[in-house]
Amino acid sequence: MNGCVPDWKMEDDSRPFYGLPVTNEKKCSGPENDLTELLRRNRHVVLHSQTNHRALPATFESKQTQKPESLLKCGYSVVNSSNFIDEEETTSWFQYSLDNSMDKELSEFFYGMPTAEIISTDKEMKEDSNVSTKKSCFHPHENVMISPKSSLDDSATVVKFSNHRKLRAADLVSENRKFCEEASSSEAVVGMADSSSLRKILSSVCGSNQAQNEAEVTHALSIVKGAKDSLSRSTLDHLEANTYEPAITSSSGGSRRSSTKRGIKRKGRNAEESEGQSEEAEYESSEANKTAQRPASGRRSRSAEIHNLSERRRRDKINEKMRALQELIPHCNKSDKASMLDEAIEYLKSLQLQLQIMWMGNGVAPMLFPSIQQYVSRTGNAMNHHSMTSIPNPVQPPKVPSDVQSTTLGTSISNQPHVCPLQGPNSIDFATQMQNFHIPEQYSSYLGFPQMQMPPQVMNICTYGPQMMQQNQMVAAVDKQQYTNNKSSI
Amino acid sequence: MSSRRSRITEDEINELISKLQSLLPEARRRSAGRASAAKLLKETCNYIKSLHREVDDLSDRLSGLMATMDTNSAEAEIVRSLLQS
Repeated sequence: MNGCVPDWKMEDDSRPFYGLPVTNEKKCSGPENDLTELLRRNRHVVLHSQTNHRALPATFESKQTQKPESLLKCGYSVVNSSNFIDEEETTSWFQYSLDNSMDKELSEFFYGMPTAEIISTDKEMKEDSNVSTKKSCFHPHENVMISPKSSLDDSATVVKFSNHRKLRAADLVSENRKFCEEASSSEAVVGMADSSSLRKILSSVCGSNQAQNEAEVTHALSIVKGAKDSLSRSTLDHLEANTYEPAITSSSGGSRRSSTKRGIKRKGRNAEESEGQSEEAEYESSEANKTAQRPASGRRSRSAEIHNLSERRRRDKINEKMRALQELIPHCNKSDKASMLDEAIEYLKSLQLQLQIMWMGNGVAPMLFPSIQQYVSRTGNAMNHHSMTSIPNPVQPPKVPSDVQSTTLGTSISNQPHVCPLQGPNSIDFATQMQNFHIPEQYSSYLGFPQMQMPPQVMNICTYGPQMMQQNQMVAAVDKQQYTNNKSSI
Repeated sequence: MSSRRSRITEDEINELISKLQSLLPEARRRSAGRASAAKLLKETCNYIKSLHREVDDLSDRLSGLMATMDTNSAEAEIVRSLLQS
């Protein structure tokens, strides 16, 4: 049996071999190990139950879930090339391949498969023959193997498969229903690469064993389908063009339907969806390491595109607002977002401060400025409190009058005859900010108070209001001096 | 790396945005958590515009006050300085 596969070397020219998606190559590298492991495990299982394929399903299926992609890719190529469709054949093939010295060849094959693009091409023909030969060697159903030889074309192979399968289907059906499951799943795994042909085959097989596990088949098929569809739709067309179609249809119209409808997820979703095969393929491919990524990623990439678009729109909105903000801020030559935000914050603070002062000025002007000395020395705290109590404060009282000035400020603001446009919170904010008097140099010009001395003085002045009228002159004089100094420094 | 730089900048920006949010009138601040950056920026622009309007309004009033005041008085000086800002 071992000698049956003289040149199983898929690696070299297995690239486009089984019509595996081009993207398989990169993906295959990962699953290679899994595939090998799977093979090994299968072999183990095979050994145990050469005749009892039932053991296989467990292994296969477990393995499949693990790394169906790799398996699919590899197996698919194999299956594709060699009427793998047959459930029994598939499983047995695996088993045998593992058992025999082909094992290493298979491993090679599988390894090669991942890297190789399985595309139904001429190479496939060779491979098919090889594979089929190999299969025939260790597979009891040799005739199946032989068929690929004659059909160097994928479609031809498929056709042959279908024919063979039909023959075998009957046999198989009677034999191992379970195998159908396994086969389908394994086939699916294996046949991922060649979606179209494999799927058809599987469907046909499943059709024959419809009673069995359509679910399984669909599962496998879905996997296969994913790979196949993405892989070579053209191939599929070819296949269909050939007698394959009718054969399959006849044999497994129902199964195919089920498989077609089947869920994409390789996870064994047996839900029969009426999605288009292409869609399923897309899912499959994305699921299976994107083996069939090209069309399969359509859906994923679409959602990604949509996400990108929305993200871009959001970014654009934010940028637009930033630009608007930049225009509002005077003398803003920063293009960097962070620095611009910094400037905006400072400008906002200075604006608020300025407004606060202006309000105070508005209210103060008619009141005459109280004595500055009292305020400067802060000895007027007591007085401030008094003034506060005496002065009605319609506006919300200062939040945290930790500092007298802030308190007086709030009071002064509320003292104005005019309704202070500044909301309570605003005044509080201003008060807080007034405390700090942290007006950047560049913004002092905004307020006309290049020096921070002014605000506190003004605040102090405001606090006393009418009570300090007699001192206004003095204060005013002092303020005037200050203002003059400030103005000159501006 | 640009990614690293952008990440740092992202944090900066977030911090600045939160600072900005704290400056905005409390009515907005009371709203849940941190609004989206776009909303905040829009809010800031509106706020700055309203502050500008307020400044203009106050300036008008101050100038009006000036008319009533003795131009040589200290208050006039103050008002003038305020108006100049």
